[in-house]
Amino acid sequence: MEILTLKNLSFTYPDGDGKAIENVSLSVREGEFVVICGRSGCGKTTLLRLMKNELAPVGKKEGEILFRGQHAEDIDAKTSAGSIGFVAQNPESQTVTDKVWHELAFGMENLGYDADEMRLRAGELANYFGITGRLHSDTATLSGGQKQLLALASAMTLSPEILLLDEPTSQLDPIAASGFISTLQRINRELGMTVILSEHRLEEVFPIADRVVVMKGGRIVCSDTPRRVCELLGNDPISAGFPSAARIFSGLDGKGKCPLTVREGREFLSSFEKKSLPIEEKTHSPEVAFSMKNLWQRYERNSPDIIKGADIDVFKGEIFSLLGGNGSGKTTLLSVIAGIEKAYRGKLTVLGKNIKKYSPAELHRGTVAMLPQDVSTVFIKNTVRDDLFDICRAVGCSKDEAEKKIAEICGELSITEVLSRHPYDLSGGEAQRAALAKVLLTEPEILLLDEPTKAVDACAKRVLTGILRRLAESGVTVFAATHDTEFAAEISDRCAMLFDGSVICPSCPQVFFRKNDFYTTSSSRISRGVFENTVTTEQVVALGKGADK
Amino acid sequence: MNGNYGKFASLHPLPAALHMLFVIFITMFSQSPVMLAVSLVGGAAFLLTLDGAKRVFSDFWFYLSFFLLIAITNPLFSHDGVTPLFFMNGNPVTLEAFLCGIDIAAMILAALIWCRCFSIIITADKALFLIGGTAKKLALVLSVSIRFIPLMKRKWRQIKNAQIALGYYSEKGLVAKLTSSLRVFSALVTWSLENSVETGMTMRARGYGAGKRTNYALCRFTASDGAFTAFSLVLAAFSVFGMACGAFSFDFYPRLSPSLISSGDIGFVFAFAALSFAPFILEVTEAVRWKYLRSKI
Repeated sequence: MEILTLKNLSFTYPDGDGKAIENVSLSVREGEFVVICGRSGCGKTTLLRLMKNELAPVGKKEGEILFRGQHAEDIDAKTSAGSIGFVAQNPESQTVTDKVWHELAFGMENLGYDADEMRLRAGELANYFGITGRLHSDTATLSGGQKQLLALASAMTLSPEILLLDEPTSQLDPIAASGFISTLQRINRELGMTVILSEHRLEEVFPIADRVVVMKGGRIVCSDTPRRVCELLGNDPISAGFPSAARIFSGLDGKGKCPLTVREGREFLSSFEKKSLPIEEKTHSPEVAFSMKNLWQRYERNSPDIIKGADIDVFKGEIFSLLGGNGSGKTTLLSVIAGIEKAYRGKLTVLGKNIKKYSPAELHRGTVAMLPQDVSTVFIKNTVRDDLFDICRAVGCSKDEAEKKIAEICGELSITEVLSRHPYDLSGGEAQRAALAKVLLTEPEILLLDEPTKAVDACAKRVLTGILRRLAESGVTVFAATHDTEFAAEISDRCAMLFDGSVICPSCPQVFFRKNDFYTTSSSRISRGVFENTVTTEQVVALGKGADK
Repeated sequence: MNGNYGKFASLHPLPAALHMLFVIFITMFSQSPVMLAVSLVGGAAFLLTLDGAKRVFSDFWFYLSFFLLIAITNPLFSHDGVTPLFFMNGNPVTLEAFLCGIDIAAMILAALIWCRCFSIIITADKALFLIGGTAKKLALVLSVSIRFIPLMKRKWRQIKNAQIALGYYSEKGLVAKLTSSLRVFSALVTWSLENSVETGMTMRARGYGAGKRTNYALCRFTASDGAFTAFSLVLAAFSVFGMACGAFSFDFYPRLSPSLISSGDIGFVFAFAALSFAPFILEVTEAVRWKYLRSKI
């Protein structure tokens, strides 16, 4: 039975040029798992918000939205809150209260549940989501992943008939994200819950989705099973976010059923001739950008050590990725190199000079710069342009000089169109490039990046890769801390792992990833046993093209 | 809720809060040294069971110096009384004023100790639960604001670090530092406005304002809560009645009252003592029962 139907839906924002949603028709069956994907700004969020009356943006709406045959506007607030659950992007801003139990109870309080009903419901869900032990904790002590699970649990307390989720994993690290997705799958399978999810991390959601809706410029360009979508759009730019197996399949012009998971990908590749890709070790410049010797750091005198004897040399013009799990100390290590935190033991040399001998002005103007994980913290003005001018003034540029520099960097990072916008109104990718522009205007020789692929879709990730490569070619050293193995494999000259406070096994991506079973890329897992030393989809495709079946 | 505490802490917050407010109220309005001694010792014993000896003794110097400060201040400024001990700057320092100082200090200290017990037993979420019974909106606003504080703190750090890395905090001097902090602050304000718009949206999505609100009952009111409420109501009423009858009146000026308490009023003292020592006894019997149970295992 159909639960939600959109008929010729169009939507225009009051100040917008053109329609944000154009003639969209969609019908969702009960119990279906629908994934909506597309580049940021394609109208995913607007579409999802239109489906829930209270969140519907202000503007001109044409067409119909029917929930169980009833017009969305006619549904009263109480029914809507109860039967349509919504989980938004940002874990911080969708937590309302200070305690976990209160967060769970909040929706039920609003709908006037009685005390016993509330207790039963909260108890049930706390058990299902495994948060009973944290019931009396402050919500502020939860990690981003836990907060998102709590948001999902609180939406579930009202026994909704349909769940709408707007990029719920975009602010999470890959491990927390896959935990969230598998919980969602469980809810769909075990409770028959209808799920509509917008996502840009498609590797994990494609195999579990019943239907994928691809949007472009406010229109639906394709709506079919994940397999069909991969076959139909295999060569479209949107495919950058598709699962590795599907990308390898279309790269090699595969025939038949398109593989979606690693297992299916391995089956597809098994008929290929065994081959090996020679290991390409990039020659780095002999000059050292920065080097750590037995570095130790902790935050307080009595707190445990975060960094325990880190040793590494990073060379000029190199792109170096530091991988590691949550809380492994990646951000701390970056803060030490950026001169925000100080190591209490060991030596850190930046461009041949001990970091202690730098004055703050010297270090941060033209030597080291850092792009933080949450890029919104970089902005302090009301428009991107003001922010960029501000940093130019701080660096000591004249007005003409500043204008020239800004024009140049905006062209380079393709953010000229967003200059007059407020930094908070930008999409993930745009905000990141704008923040990067501000950071680069200090003309650093060493660029530190903290989780650069978080909150960024696949296309924007590709753009970022290009930018970082060009920077490295011009002699800037790029040092990125990341969870994202696919990104690290693609971009790095060398990778290393931060484990137990020290830097382990710095080597080129091919060597670093080829032996790992878990901490590696999907492409490496798919091609293992057939192709040797291939860790990115491009490498697999390149090798596969030459191999006869 | 207070996992490590005993019977009194596991009472419903309403009888617990009522009980402690009664004791604090009676303490603050009585001048009788007997009553104050009862309240002080009862409160101190209770605090010992809550905080543990180690913690209380580490705070001991604070309590002592506080006590001495008030006890000494009174005779320096009040020169009433008929028994001068010595003269200072031509003014008499009297025995009555000195004893009155000790009395006032004991009263304030006793109230302070009970307030400390109150803050341990009635945690923030219990207090919110209590307020929520009458002022639902206020309770929710408080809960939302309490969540916001650590969030703001973290964001402040993040913005500040990002700005340091951009070289904004590098100038020396107070003015430069202040301007830098001001920039961070303005960014923080923008961020929190943005954040609260989104929070408002999720609140609506989860049915806020859709109808009549109920409150999640964090604690249940059981028969023993009822019994304890009755117990403290009766004893407090009896003590207040005694107070109204003048059973606890004690004068320091111009000369001390002849006796601390008249023998006919001793019943009131026992009532107040039962009230003051009830939390301590509840906590201790619980601890003893635990020991006994454990020794059997």
